[in-house]
Amino acid sequence: MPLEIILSTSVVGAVGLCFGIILSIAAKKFKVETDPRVDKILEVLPNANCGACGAPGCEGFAKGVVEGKYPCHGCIPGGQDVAEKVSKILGVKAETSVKQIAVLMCGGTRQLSPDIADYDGVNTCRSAHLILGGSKACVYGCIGFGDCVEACPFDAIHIGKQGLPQIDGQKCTGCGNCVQACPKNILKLYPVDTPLILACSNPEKLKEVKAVCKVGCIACSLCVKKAPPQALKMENNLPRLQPDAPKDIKLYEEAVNSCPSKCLKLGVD
Amino acid sequence: MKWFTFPGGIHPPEKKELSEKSSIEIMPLPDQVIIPLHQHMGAPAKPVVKKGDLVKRGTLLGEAQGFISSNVHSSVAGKIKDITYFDHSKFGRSMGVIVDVDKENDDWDPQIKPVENPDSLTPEQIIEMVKNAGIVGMGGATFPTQVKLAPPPGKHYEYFILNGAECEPFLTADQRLLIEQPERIFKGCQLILKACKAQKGIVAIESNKPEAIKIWTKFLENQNNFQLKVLKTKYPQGAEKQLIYALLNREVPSGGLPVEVHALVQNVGTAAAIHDVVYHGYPLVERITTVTGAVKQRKNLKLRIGTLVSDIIKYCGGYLGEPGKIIFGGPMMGDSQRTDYTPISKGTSGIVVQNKQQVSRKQHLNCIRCGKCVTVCPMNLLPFEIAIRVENDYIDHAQSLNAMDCIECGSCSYVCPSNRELVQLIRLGKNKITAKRKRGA
Repeated sequence: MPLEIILSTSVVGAVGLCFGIILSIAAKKFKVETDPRVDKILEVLPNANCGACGAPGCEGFAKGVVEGKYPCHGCIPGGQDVAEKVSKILGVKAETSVKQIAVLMCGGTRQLSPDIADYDGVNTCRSAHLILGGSKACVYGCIGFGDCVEACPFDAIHIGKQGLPQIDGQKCTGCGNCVQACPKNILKLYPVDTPLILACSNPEKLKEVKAVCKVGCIACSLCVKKAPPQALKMENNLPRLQPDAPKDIKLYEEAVNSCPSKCLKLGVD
Repeated sequence: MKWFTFPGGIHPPEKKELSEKSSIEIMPLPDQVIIPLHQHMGAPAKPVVKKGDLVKRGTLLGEAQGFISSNVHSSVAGKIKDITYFDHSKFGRSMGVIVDVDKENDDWDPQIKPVENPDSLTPEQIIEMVKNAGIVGMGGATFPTQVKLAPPPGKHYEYFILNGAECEPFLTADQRLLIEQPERIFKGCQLILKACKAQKGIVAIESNKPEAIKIWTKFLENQNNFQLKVLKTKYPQGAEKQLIYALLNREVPSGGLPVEVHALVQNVGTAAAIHDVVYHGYPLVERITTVTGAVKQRKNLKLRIGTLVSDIIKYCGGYLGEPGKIIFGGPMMGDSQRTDYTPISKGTSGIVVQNKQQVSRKQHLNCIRCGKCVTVCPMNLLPFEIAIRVENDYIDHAQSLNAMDCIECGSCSYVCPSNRELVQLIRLGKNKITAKRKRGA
């Protein structure tokens, strides 16, 4: 074997060994004490760094939860599962929380609420919204450029064939990033056991709504009469489910079937 | 004569020759008007009338809500058909009062009476009258005038500047007003000078209005507190901060108001409106608007607030070709509309129509870092840098590049060789920054 190879190998090896020894000494000497629970919690978190808890990323949440800044069920995407694991690590009792998912309060597809103007600008919903609310006939409805798709860290939203975002209930964790991204404020978080969803956000009345969308709520308040008493109330020309309303889906079937513009849906999915 | 100006800016084709020779015409009353309850910066007015009420010209329809807000008056006599949502030219869907016009009895409200001694009013009385009359900045920004006239505690005004620059291409409404009614404007100027307690007044006119300059030179010959200054024809010469810099060589601090450099700027139309309220008692119910572009007859019209564009275009002989774009305001900073069933409001200085052939659609390419936008930016910003950051959602970076100081004049988009949507992206960034501030993050 030529001398050069042996020489270079041994020199590099020796240098590597030296640095290795120095590093291992330094690692022992300058060790920073961390709470072992932080690492354990970090392992059980989803590690999506979505920011729904309010902390800067999952590590921030793990540190915060150990310090007591955030509750054990603070990780919204993790849901009940993660909340239990975190409480087990911290040795406290888990609190129950109902999973929430994002729901689009608009049913106006391109066919049902067509564009009345031509928009030529930056391809984001917020930018279109800044110019008189965008080119769609209904200014309260979904524009469909997909700001929510961009904002979703879990790949749970996609723009469907008809131009409206489709939310995957399995993937959606309820982090609320899409709710903040939507300039029209028509994405809302609902607990998964919500029995009734209104797919419209237009606060105007019959004539104006009919002129812009075929599935818009016309404020006829028929659903209020057909639903269980006190469950629905008209607020701002739209039926609103009251917080103490019964959660059994079957009770609302008649109300949904009675809706003349078919903008009520049973259940969040 | 020395021409005053500021660094940067652009010089787009003026196109003022289309309408600058036609004198102000009064449009006959339309059948119906929609009077927006939100015609100003700040909170919308709260309606004080209801469906079926009979109103006169000048009757109060909406009351100001809060400090930065303004009253709204009926511009016609008639019966209220409904108070409902309509397509607003600036704020999208919002509330307005639909009035069926009574063309026979177009009288002023009997409560409107001129004051006895208009020349002996105190500044506070003038400001109160301006407030009640619902006067707002009529150049297009529609900031409530009474707020501007009264400086915040501890501040004072030195100069009052009458803004007759009208730097937007196509528009000639202010120009016609300067030529045809100098006395009315000048009386308004004297009132503003008194109300804001400034010492000196400046009348600023762009060099492309020689007729107006001639009239005003003669008019101001014997006035020692007012002085005429001619501005270089350039866009955005009429923007408040640029105008102050050009005339006084003072820079308004970032995020600050012109009061911090002791200057007050008011539009020509605003001065005329202030004259009307003090000498006649009339609230702000009509304005001069230029109707130009692809219409058969281009005119400068005196319009009642709330007149629908469709009626105005019909009066001007209809569209020239198939309409492609209707812009409220000038082509640089105006708002293009969703529909022509939209009424004019207090800030509508012009209606510019483009037909299908004139509307250009260009492909948007990548930034080549040529720096043209930087040389023209009148606020000395870096438009391309801000736009790239907004595009990639680095909102904090955009904010640190002072995106909030952008006046959205559109000069950067105008010169960009790659046809980038610079001002649109900056506006988007500003909106995101404000949304973030509101969330408190």
